[in-house]
Amino acid sequence: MKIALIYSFDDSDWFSCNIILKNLIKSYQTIYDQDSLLHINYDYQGEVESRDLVSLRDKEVTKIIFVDHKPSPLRLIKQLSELNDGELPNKEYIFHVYGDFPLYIRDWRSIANRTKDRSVKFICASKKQQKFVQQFYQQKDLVFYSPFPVDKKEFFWDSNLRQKTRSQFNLTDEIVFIYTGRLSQQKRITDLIDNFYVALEKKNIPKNSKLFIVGEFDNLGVPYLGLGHINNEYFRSVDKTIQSHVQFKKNIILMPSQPHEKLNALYNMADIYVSLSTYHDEDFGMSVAESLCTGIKALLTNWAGFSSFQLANIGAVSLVPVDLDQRWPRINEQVLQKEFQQIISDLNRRADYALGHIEFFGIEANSKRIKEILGKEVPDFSSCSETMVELLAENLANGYHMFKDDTDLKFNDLYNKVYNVYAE
Amino acid sequence: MLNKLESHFQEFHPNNCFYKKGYRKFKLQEFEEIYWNYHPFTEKYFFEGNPAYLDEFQSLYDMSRYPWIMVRDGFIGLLTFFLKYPKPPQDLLSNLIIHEQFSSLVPRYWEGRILFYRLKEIENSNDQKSETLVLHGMGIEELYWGDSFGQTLELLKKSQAQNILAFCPTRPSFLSSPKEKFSQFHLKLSQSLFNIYGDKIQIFENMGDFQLSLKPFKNFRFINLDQEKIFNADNYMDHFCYAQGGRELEYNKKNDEEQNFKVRCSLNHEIEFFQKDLDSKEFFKYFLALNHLDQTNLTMIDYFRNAEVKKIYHSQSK
Repeated sequence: MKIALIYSFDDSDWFSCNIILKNLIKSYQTIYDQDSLLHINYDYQGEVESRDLVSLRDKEVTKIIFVDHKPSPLRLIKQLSELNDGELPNKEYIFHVYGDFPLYIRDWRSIANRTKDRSVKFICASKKQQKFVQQFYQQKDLVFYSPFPVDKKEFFWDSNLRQKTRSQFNLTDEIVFIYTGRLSQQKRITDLIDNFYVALEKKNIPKNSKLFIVGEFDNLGVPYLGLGHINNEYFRSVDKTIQSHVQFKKNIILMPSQPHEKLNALYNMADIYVSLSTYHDEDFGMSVAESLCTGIKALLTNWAGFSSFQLANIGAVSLVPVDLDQRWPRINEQVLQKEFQQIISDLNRRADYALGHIEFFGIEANSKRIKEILGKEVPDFSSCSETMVELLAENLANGYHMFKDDTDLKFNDLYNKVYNVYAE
Repeated sequence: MLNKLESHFQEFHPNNCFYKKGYRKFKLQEFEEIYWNYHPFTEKYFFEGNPAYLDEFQSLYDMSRYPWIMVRDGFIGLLTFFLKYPKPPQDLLSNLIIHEQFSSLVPRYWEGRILFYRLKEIENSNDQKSETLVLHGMGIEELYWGDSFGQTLELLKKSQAQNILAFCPTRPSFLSSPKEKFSQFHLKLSQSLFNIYGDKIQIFENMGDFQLSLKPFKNFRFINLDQEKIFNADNYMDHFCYAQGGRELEYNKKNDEEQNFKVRCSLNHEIEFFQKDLDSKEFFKYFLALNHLDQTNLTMIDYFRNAEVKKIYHSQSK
């Protein structure tokens, strides 16, 4: 028996996807011995070497697992069918689903047609993403949940590292909030800064509290609405927001993206991870998971994948509600300020929090969950749902602007319908 | 004037940025060709000062929609503009911000309508020694009127960097006379770089490939080969390199003058605005030597190819 892992051997330009991929492969290496795993290079141009393609058809290969975020599996599925006289070989097909699922809705529709009567499983990284993806298929029980894994060798709690890093930044008793990740409009960095200033002004947090913002700026804007940024635009927006508060602007430290070793040190230095993201495809939040494994607390929106970070038995994560009433994700800022007040208590349980989170998000836990999913008997795949057809029709008519209102710079009813599960 | 500019920045709405206006038809097709020939060095970016090349506007009326314009043109664009408008025309309501290198090209009559800008590095804790050097620029003869090319090569020879990435796309020489269009200058540039660095250098033609290769390096030094700024004073690649964590190879630290207005453009650099008395020294030389020409209809290509202009330029640089 052989298990084929399909992914690109080249690095992706999405930093977090490289980490996710590396850790997912480690999970599979924990489940299966080296000889059982067949690593297939499916490059970003969608090419597979012909001898690899032939080996995938081999009877010994029982499961074909797509672990990477791109290219979409469609091209390989098509090539495999063509190689097999037009019929997709009878194996189990497993897809790790990433946040860009709706962007490739046409591909997923074609994949659905081609995998009919085959054994198919979708693995989502959060419970809300699971619900999101379930909307597009008739058989909900083919869609599973297993969070992306964190490597405990890279992210861990270390009190000495905390002291060392705090002294590097001349910190003594300050409470440190930290955001790491892409600095993008839908990650709401300007809202985060504004709300941090309000928390300082209202004394909901001590006036010497710091907010570290670490990451790389992008020009994505809100692509579904066609609101792209030009170079430097979001940087200027963030800088202007920081400079808007003369008294507290020095409480905010903006830093470029950092390698893992430094990120781990920064998480150890900090006390609370904070993100107000309502990014349309926030399927998981790799940096949140990594930070939690260092024993940090987290203040997040309850949007999409973030809600899966709240583990009842640990209690380190606070969630702020988001609603879609105005056809635009809106954060409840009153609740947010209350959460600022509350989250600063009980910051000394780092070792417990770190242990609890690594037991849940670590590679070992992940491999157990995946093993369980792979072992489950499921009925053969039948077809996609009406929601998929509806979305596909909109996509064919309006391309990437399928969620844009016809007359207004807001999301349309279809967005509310499909994305409502992210705000629930 | 600086106070007015500061208020403009504070009250600025992003939709009023010239480069946010979407696709604009260029006034002159020849300028459009030059713009794209120099791309991505001419790439647009967001800034409240409204960076733009003068020929990107349809007319003075069109320019006047913007109270401030940060002029990205280098020597030849500014010379063309100021020879045409030695006094601010009545139809133009905008104030202009000019690169500091060309302050002497501004006629005195523009006093009160002109500020100057320069790029300035922000000192921070990341200012460490680096093993990586990035070069950017094009190997086209038209950019090197003076002896800046030789000086840059001398500077590069002193660098101890171990990884050298050069973004040097091959392009035709648009501004030069037709016989020079297909000059061998690009080969000369590549040969000089290989002579200095041997196999340590990687030369990139494509911006995407260059960007990907640069990604792992968060701390590097960079140098813009286009030191004379004949066409392009505000080079997008400088902003890009700073934003990626780079610092200039030979940065001439400027004194911090409190009264100047500074705006961050990335974590590593800012644009500094300042006032300066206009001496117009250079402007008058060109104006007097060229006033036999009908300056109202000449374009930057006409001036670029004019022997008199080159002669004065050389006498200035000596």
